Amino acid sequence: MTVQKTPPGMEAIEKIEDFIKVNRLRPHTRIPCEKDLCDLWGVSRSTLRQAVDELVENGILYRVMNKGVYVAEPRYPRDMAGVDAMVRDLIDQGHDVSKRIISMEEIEASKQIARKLRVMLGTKVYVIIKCRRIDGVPCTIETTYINAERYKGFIDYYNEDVSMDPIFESHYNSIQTSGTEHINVTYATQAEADVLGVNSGDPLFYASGVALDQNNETVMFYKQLIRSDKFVFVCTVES
Amino acid sequence: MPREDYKMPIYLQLREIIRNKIEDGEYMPGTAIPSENKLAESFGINRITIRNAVDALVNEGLLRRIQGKGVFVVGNKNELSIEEHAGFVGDAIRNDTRISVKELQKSERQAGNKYANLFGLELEDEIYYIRQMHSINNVETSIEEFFLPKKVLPSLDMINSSVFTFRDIMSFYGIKLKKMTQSLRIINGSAKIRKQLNIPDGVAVLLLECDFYNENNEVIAHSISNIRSDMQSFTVSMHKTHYSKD
Repeated sequence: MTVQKTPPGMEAIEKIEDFIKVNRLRPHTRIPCEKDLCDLWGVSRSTLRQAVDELVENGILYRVMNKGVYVAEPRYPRDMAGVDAMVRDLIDQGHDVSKRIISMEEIEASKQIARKLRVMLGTKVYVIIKCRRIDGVPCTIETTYINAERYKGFIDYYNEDVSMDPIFESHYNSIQTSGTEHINVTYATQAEADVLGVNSGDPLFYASGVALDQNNETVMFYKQLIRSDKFVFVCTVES
Repeated sequence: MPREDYKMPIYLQLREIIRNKIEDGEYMPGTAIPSENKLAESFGINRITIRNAVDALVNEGLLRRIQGKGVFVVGNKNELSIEEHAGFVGDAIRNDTRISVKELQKSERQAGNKYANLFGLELEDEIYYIRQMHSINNVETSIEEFFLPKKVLPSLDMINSSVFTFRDIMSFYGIKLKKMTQSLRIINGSAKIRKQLNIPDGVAVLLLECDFYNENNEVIAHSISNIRSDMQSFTVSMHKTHYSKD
């Protein structure tokens, strides 16, 4: 097999990534100026600039006009343990997480919702729509559908100061144990953009799924719009 | 903020109507949706608005426009057969999916700073670098790069990576993977990648990065995939152990 020299552009990107990691640069730390890095690594200005461009594009670095290049805030990890677990982790890390209920109402299940919740068409269903903020920045719009006959009175227990999981557990003896989630990309509508503080048409994660409890009963069907500039989906699989 | 809101612009309302009809199975995968004229007539909306709604769903990968034939439902998603590693399982957005792998590059290179640190090597130690183009039904969908130390798999140069995926190769050689961590982010993608994958304007790129660990908890391989977000989505199965209950 041929031994090939790593292309300069690729090498420059790897060097910058490694530089941030090895030196444990904190978010919003300025990296050395272009000229210093070029001298340090023996790469051309244009190569380095392209490497920085790509890392800016990928959200690893950001540029401030006339000032320099800084390490970006890492994106929040959203893992498959679900939103409640994510919120607990973020709070543990010292973040301020709050939510605002946009609407909470009872509807009759449409065909799609009925199928997802495995109920008859027209069954009473609670729909809760909320926006979650992290350190004051709106990050997600979450729509949750809950069978209102099985979880009668859920919306009386739920408010902006409590999480859903403990209510399912303590009032309905329903513990979420499994589920399936689909992750897609969608683009913000004007109304969504207004709530999330992004531009209309910006890409968002669109995660939808169902959660099942210990008896394999459907607990909820949810759709979440998640800012792609703030979140990274992560997953660990152990065998 | 429901996506079905009467105050939303008409084209977005129509987008959600079409989305629901696809999800409900009224518009079947592989079939054409009604023509723009028909939709315009039945909803009493002008054709430009119809077109905007359809374009939005084409960008999301739910519909595909075929010149001179109409707009077809891409439909339900099929899983790629990588479930032994579970995690994010790539769903090709199509039924009767055919996946092909083309080797773009296979070579040896020096580890360099990043991979020396990741794999616990010296800067000059050699690693394999493989770049593949993955296509789904002849549409180029993702570019995947693999990095692994030469000592992990000394005979990699014998293997045709156009026929087998990296995960296949690992299992052929009995390399026990203890753990895999993955991250999935949405990016715009470099101009080069967008051009190579022929990505339409307005369509984002999914960047999937994986670290593979052996039984000693050492990283033995790393992969970086740039994926067309209109061609592929992901499924995650959640199991009891993944819920951290406090």
